[in-house]
Amino acid sequence: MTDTATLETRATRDEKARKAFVSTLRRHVLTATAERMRSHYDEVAKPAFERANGRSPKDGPEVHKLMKPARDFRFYSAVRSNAQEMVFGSVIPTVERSLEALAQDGRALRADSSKTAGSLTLNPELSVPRNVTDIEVHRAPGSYHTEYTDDDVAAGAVYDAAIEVFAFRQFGDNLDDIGQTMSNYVRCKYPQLDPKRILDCGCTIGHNTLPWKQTFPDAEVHAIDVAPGVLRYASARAQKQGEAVHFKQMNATALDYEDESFDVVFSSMFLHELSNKDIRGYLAEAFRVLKPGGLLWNMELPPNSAMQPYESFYLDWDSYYNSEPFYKGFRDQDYRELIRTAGFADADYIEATVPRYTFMTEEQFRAAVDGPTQFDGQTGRMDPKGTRWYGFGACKRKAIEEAS
Amino acid sequence: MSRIPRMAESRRNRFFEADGVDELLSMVLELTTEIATLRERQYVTERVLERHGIAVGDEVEAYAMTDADDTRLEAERERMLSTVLRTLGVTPKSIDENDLEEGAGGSPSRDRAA
Repeated sequence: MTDTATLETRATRDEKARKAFVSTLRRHVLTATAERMRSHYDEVAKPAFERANGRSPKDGPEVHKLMKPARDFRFYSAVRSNAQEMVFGSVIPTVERSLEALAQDGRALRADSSKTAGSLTLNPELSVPRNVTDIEVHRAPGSYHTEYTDDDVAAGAVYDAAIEVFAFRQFGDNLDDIGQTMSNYVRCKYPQLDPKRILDCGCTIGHNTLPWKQTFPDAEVHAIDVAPGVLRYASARAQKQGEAVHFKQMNATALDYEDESFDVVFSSMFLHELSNKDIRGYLAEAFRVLKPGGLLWNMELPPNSAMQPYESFYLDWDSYYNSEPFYKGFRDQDYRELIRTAGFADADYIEATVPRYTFMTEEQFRAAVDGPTQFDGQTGRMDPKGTRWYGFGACKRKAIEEAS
Repeated sequence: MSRIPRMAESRRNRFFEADGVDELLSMVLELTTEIATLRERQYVTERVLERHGIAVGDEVEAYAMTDADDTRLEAERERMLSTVLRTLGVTPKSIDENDLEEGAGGSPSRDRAA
């Protein structure tokens, strides 16, 4: 293995141009086209509804029903659906052409112990759950688990390249803003926590895992997922970026870790991919493996109960049209109740909306950490004018542990 | 034959009542991608040539195509058409079928093509 070998997939000039265009298309539909749809709601659809019903639309589903016949909704939805397909279409040929080379690069990086002390532990006995195998999540061809060659990393390579196109720079230069924002929030908000052992559940390629190692360099960082291809890629990617992380193939609803063995259990954009049963299974496991005084912190989409009807409708679009069958069901839940059911004390529930760490200075971020929780059109939504990520969880207090 | 599928197997969303409009929009978007890609290549090519002191405008206008040029460009046109027309023959999902049952969770197999 030479230092010149990388996981980069050597896109041709035309493939690079195609990716750039699809990324621009994504930005256009989520800004200009979305604004046009919003204007139709404010100026036409909502006033008409109010005249007919003597009240405003009460929730997301009512706005959805109202907007469905509107041409602005149809075009927004059709262009967004196409852009989603085109994201994958713009990256898959490059990955496919490099399939064996990528697998070899991954093997070499993972074997190079001079890079980091990280590790990869796969479990061929683990059955990949149906929420991954039976659904083409985000309309990803082959979903996130399919393997195409020995030691395959294709699912991870496609995901890595696809989210770069998908995010039109809104996830930061290393696609890690969510992890950077959430780990630095914990660092600033809970300075006494000083975590020594951190677990990231549902990590895919570990892009939001590595920031935890960067934010807490002395901590031992573990990350799990159910799919082997994304984990192989994640481990190689971490090696390449010089961050020691222990990746394991494991189901978050049945963690193979001891009780009270982590200071932080984290997840990002994970719960909305799970059935209600699995959400509760994961949260119960998180409670079990957290040390007394440890922190559960989930970056997620904000709950519908906190959002205005139009914002609920806007965010829930994915559930109807982007192969996200659990998305709305999750967002309709009472997150506080979920946390309480997992064993945490109601008083220890926490939630916050946090602006993006990699888009501001440390001073600006510190000021924002102490700011109010805000639910509006920029919460949980990729917006070049400003985005706030949402997080919720709980602290596992020692007293609670002793009482249980 | 491709080893990694290019599109999800589950049925495509459909948003327009008039038959074919969804497919036409896909074609327009793919076509626009093709044009954007081409323009980028042309832009880069002209910048590279300028770096070597060659301003290409007049020579491009006067260029005479060879048989080999024709063969290569015909293959490129075929590839472009198969991309632009990729949605023809794909069964769409009607807008009503997109409705999601209310409440937590849905059927994991809901989205599968019949």
